[in-house]
Amino acid sequence: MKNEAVFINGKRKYIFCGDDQGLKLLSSVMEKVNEEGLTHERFLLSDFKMSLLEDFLKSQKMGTFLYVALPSSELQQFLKAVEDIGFSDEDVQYIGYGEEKFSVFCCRCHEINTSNNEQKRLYCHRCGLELEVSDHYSAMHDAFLGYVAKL
Amino acid sequence: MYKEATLSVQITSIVQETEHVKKYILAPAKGNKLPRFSGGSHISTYLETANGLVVRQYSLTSHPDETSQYEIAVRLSEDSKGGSRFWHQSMKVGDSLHISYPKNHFPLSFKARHHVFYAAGIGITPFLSMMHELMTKGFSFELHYASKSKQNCPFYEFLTKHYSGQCHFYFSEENHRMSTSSLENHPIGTHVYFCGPESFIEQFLKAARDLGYPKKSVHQERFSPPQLKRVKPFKISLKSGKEIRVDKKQTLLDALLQQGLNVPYSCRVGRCGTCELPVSEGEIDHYDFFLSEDQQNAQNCILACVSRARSDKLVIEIE
Repeated sequence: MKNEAVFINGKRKYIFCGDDQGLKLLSSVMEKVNEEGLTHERFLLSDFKMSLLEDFLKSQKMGTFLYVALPSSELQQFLKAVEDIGFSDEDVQYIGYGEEKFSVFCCRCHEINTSNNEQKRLYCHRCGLELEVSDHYSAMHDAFLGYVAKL
Repeated sequence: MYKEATLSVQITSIVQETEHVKKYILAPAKGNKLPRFSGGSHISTYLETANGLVVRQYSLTSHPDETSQYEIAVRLSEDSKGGSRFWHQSMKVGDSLHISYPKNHFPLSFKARHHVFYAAGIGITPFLSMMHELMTKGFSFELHYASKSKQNCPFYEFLTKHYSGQCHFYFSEENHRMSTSSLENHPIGTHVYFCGPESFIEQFLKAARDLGYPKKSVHQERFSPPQLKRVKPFKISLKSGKEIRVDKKQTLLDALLQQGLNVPYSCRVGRCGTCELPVSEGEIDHYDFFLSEDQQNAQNCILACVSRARSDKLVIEIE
């Protein structure tokens, strides 16, 4: 997940997908794609269009590049849907804005806790251990490992 | 005697598949089971010829779950250096030989939503076990297969019998040639696999790249090392202070082996990574298909079987 979209060269088609605020974050890349005369489509996302979007993404061919820009809190569920459709991590850029919430795995009781950007330490809500958020990410748990903050 | 652990097998059947391709069934010489393998695996065969030991790699074409015997197919190469000629002219039913355990440098992607195989000629061989595996597991796949003619097309009857719905054949003698245009139509989530002559692989790799296929969705298996565009001699220096010259006609691996150094290796085509060596000085010209772009850019390791020096000298961190 990134804060800023980066233009990826050499794709046959580009799809920009996001809410109002998200599409603004993609504007620089959209301009670049426009300038170069590359094939592209834009999809303004709102709740009721989610299934429509999934059908649209499923119909895409190899070589398509997808930009998704949404509130950080919504990106996670979107990421799973896009991956299930078949987009690989080399085919998509996810741009998040607003407060980013992420999960922290308690090293003692294995409970999954929720944290945000600013919070570097937290107490596990199940066992009460003070955890320090590491950069060790587990794709299986979709969580960062929380180490013991104080021994 | 051999560079790796081997299995002892016996040839139980030889079938003339086409004019130039023979199919060999290999059964275990001792015991009644061979190791299970995964789709796309190959074995090294150790042939004891009058001119010494000849080691050749062949894809396993049988079902990965079949452990009572293995099947390989060998095309008689016009410019055979001894391997395929020996297989075709000297190997008989009842003969014994040693083979390596199965290895897989060309595995199926477990992330693909759809698998598409592009084969030319004998390039079909790794796809046979892959298709067996996908069919058993109920995954979606298709095959695009180019050959001169139906008569010269190895496994044509087998494929039409078992995978008629998934196969597209292209016979050049019927003026029906395979083109790269089908790459334009594969749905998102497809992984493509190329196997055949160098020019065929290069053509399809380029087309996939031009369409914007991500690197991780494109797989390839080569029979021979890549054709190097620029080849010049260079020197290497080892930890011991010893200097070795690698001339134009030899690989770095050959130069090291010739000096009696015990360097591990396997595929010799820049695919498996077995011969990776640490480099502390000098500029490397990478020709492998194993290291990532970042690893290649880091300029701190080399695959000795195919890669060379761009600078005049490399310092290699081995004794």
